[in-house]
Amino acid sequence: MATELLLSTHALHKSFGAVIASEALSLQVRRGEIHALIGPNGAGKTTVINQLAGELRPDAGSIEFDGRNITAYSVDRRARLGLARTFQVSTLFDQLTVTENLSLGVQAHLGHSYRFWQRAGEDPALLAPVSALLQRLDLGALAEQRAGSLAHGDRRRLDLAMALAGQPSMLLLDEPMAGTGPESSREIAALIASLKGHVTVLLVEHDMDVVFSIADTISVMVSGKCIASGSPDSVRADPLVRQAYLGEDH
Amino acid sequence: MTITGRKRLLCTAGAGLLIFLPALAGFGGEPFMVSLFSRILIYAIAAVSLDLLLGFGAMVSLGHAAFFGVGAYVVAILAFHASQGAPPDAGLLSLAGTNNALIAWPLAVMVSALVACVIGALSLRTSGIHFIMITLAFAQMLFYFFDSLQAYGGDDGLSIWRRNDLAGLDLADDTTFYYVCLTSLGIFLLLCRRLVQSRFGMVIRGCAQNEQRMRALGFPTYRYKLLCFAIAGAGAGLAGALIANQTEYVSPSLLHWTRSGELLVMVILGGMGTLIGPVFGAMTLLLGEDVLAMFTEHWQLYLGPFLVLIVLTTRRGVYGLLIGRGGHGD
Repeated sequence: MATELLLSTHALHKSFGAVIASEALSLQVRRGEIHALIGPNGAGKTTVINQLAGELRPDAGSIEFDGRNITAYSVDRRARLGLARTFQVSTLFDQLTVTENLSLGVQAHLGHSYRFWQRAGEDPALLAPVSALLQRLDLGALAEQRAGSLAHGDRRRLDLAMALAGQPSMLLLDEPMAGTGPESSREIAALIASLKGHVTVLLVEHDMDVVFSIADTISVMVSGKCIASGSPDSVRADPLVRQAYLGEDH
Repeated sequence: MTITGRKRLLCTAGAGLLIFLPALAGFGGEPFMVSLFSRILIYAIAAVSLDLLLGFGAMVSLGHAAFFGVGAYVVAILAFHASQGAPPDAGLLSLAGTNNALIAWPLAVMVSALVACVIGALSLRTSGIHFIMITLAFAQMLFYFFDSLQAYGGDDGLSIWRRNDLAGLDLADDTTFYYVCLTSLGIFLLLCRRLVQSRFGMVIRGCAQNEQRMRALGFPTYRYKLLCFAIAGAGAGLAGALIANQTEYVSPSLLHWTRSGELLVMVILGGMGTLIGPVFGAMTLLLGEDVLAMFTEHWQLYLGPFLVLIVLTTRRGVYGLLIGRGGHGD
């Protein structure tokens, strides 16, 4: 079922006063693909992510995820359904250690947390997945450091690791490489590419080399509207896109 | 010595001092110390419960004395009914009285938790300065409620005939009562210690640091914070039940917002987010009051600057100072 849709939006509309951030937006993300959302600054990409994650409610239109209409679902309910996200500016628990940060990510998807006696720091049900994540994201050496003391690139990886902790079926990544050095960027890009086929990814990213090398599908947004959507080659060739976004000489 | 070593030494020394306090007080010919320290232990329970909110949940409640007062009134009203019979026209409150602590105290804890649940359910829809103001407003509403509750003394308060009966213990004996308070504090501290390290505690600490991320991870944060608020209210209710027994008298002043302020001072002075710190905070504040009052009637003039000094120069209050982590930035 290579063409099965995991997430789709139908005529999504969102405006802030006179500014229209999303207009008749219909995105279709297939299961297992890496879908990049690109567009110039102010095109409304983050607003889309926030509507998909539930931080913002659309003014009109609907969002369907995994066969359900989730338009009215709260942020935490969407997350428990397997729709995870990272933030443009890493939002971590700065006073907690890397292990504790990841542990919370795992805990969120292990049923309720009305457990008052057993120490979370000694709970094998939390520690085993955490150590697997530490290894996978190459954070093992930093396990006992406070998140607040990490370097920027490490923060980005921890942010991503926390989103992956709940074994989501879909990840919303809002500029996961923003502000990182070239080496960190490469590592993160490789990591995202390695998710292909396991986790569906909707990626907002400005680095076009990364986008065109790892994305299966690219949607282009300009002023709240999706002007093109398709394979990297078709998007690259699209005259509208060339005119509006990539520039004639690209 | 390591921080952990100093912590352990300090807690052992503190516990030892508290365990042998009645003997020491008797030996030193100052038996009133037992009663003063009972009061300190009771306030310590209330302060520790507030630390759950303030130090771990970053919920700055300026209404915590409401739950303290409600717990005290539950015990006092039950005792009043036991000796006078329930007033016929008291409506909802026309329940049978009791002097049995095993009934009255758990009931005080439950009623306080329930009241905290209601106040929390509304207050937790706000945050920051609004949360402070709304908890204050609810607490003041309860203050005026008891202030105008003529059936139970109104603003004169309500005297209790005698202390509760607790499983054959003679609570009228100050030393016995002291040990009941000490045991209660010990158990409450242990429960809170486990609580903050548990999965539930991690959720609360996560909410304090970044609630948006907690929701994005999939936690319905409101419910967890509400339960934390109710648990803290329950702790304050227990302290209230004990204070009603200690003074054998309750009055609306137990719920006054200045009392909530005192509890906040105890937590901040002792060391927020340490659980054991507020015990030192309660001790410092109440002993400071008592000692300074012996020398001058303007004791608040001297206590105030002292509190400011502690708060400005230490990061974890008195507790941080004692274990050697007082300075900023370490």
